Amino acid sequence: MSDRAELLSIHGQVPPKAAEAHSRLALAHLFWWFMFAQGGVIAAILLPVHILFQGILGPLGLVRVASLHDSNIIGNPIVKLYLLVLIAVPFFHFAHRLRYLLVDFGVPAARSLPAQVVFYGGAVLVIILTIYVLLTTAPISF
Amino acid sequence: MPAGWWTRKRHYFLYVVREFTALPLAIWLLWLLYDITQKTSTFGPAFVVFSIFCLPFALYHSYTFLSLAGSIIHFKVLDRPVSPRLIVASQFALWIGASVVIGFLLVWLAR
Repeated sequence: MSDRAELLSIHGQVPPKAAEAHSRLALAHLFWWFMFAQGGVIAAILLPVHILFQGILGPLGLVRVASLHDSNIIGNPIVKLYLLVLIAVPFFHFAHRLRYLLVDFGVPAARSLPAQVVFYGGAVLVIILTIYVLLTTAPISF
Repeated sequence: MPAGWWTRKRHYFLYVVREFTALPLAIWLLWLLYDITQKTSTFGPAFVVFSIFCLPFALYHSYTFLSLAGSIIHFKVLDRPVSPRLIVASQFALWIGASVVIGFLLVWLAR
């Protein structure tokens, strides 16, 4: 430790380098926390109605529901953007919840950095996969 | 912690259910994504059964998550704090309103 850093820590202050690292960490935390919250909101507000209509009422033939195989619908850029938000953003929420559920079930390894990379990396992967699928399935048309 | 700790108290059990809702919902969304990649719909009887299984989890996630807003969001209007109950009520109103609009669009776009 340099003299200056030692002196600062004696006086109860954080050395500049550590402070910078700390604020970077806080920013990262803020980002993941924000994505966790957003994913929770999206899933809470949008999912039940989609499951009810697209998963139950539509396939049972009780109601005619918009088809994801109709190029007029799936080709619409607003629909694509909406599906990206609906499908991908909740995964940041899911990743966090499932990782901590593992911790609570006695898997301390789920706290580790590699586990974080797997879970949050998985969420990023779902975003990339969703973008790929939406861009390659039907050409964008108005 | 002993294995099975979460079955000992109702409160623990409900906590685990709440966290677990993430898994069926994640699979449901991945199925939706998979369906988009296929030429024809994969939403057959198996998907109906799975969706009927998922719906209570989705509703429970919505209920618990939107109820949290009352403890998280604090703000004042005209110098008076807005009551948590009003904030939670507004979240539930938003949920119902969005569901009605999306339900309407899903049917209307099928014409």
